[in-house]
Amino acid sequence: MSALIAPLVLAIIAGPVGCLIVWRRMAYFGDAIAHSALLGVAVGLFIGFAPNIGVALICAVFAILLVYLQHRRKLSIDTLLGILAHGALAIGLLLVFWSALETGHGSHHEPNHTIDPHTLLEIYLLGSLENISMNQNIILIIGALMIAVILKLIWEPLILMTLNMDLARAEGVPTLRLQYIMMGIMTALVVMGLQITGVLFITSLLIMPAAAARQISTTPEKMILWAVIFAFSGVLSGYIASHEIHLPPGPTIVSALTTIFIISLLISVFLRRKSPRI
Amino acid sequence: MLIDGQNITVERETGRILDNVSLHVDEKDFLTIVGPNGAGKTMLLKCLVGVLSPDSGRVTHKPGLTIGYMPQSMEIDPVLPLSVRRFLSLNLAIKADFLSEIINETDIAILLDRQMHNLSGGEIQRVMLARALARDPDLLILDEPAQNLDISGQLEFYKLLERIYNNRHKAILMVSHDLHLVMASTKKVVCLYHHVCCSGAPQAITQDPEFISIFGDDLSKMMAVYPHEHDHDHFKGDGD
Repeated sequence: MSALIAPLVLAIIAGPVGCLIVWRRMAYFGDAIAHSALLGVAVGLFIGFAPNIGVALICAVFAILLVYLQHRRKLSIDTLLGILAHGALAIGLLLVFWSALETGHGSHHEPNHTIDPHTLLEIYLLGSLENISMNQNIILIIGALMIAVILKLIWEPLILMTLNMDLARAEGVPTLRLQYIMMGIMTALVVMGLQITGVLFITSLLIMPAAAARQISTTPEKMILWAVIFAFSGVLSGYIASHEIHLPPGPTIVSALTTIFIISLLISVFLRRKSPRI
Repeated sequence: MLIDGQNITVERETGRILDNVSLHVDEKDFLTIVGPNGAGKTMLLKCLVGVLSPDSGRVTHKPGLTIGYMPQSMEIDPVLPLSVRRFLSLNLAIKADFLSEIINETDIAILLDRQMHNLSGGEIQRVMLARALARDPDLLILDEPAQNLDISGQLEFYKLLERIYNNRHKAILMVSHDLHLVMASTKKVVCLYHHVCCSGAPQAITQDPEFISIFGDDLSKMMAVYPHEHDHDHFKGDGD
């Protein structure tokens, strides 16, 4: 039972954050930050930090870089994101293998370093079912609560900004600050989800429930409620299935979420046929 | 003085969009900026509103100034589910009776439960105007507010603006292409083509050689016919 706390807390907070990412078209950003997380793991291993701290640092640097680059126009933003994401992923992968070679000679005795690089990559790319300690659970819950409180505080200006940037700015909304806050929240979620879904699937956990929820919602808050319900059911079913059949949790959860999305799409097509203009 | 813009200059890769533009808006002004496409009209409004900072020059607002801003062509992304009712009070503390007054004035009561992204162009314009008014602004800044309307819709919209100007004593600054319709209600016209070519009362400006060189002789002659018919009422009405 306690193994389920972390994934379910993550699922609940993924609901509102995912909606914001879908509304603000930040899925690419989420992906770039998630990919840079592997570089963070490698750097953490290399220097001897806990991987989570390395990830938080590297992701934060990337997030700031991304907000900054957004305002430059020489290369289009999707090109820049592609370069950053895959550059970071490639260097991260190399560093993981390299650090395994280094420690193969047995100079250090950090327990993490003795893990075979393939196992390490499987954990951080695809997620793991390993029990998360009670302390980590508590940190996760506090993190999720903090994100929820912050979102509640900036909710209305954030929606206004999503609707029209110029209008929000004209009405005195500090749009740049809110963009940084959003990046911070996304970074936090990547760190929180790292060991559960793995870096390859954290963005899907954010956007799939939100996309499914959009099909059947008429207010922002209803959309969030549905997104939470979908994320919760996807994670619960995916996590249990992966435990039963011994499959990595990341792809299993995301397969469950894909199924949910397809069902909601079918329902909305059916409803729209009955009463257009929802 | 509500807004004072001094020597506003904006540079882009294509060149100088705004070149040393100075413009100020006083209380009870009804000011229309005209000019060909790409003349920098939208950019100038953004600088005056404070959405964009100019590369050089200065924009000063009267302390405590509230602006009701209506950006150019609102495209509503269908990914955000939002009703008109919710939009009107988004991030805004507004009294219910004031809100319903504005809803009546802009005639959007039947739209309240519609989703924003399902509105037609003209409906969006009215909703956006209502939103701008909901902040009870001292000054309305409108960027081509009637562009998505058909000709009768445009007439109606400008009549509504004139009513708001006369009844609510708001100053109005707008960009418009509908010269022939605007000439009747506006008090002052500024003709912009990267710099201020000419400005003045609508009657006077149509005789200005710079105006004629930009808009052509035919148009200026056509304009000259209009304003005189309307000189009588709205200038007296806005006293106090």
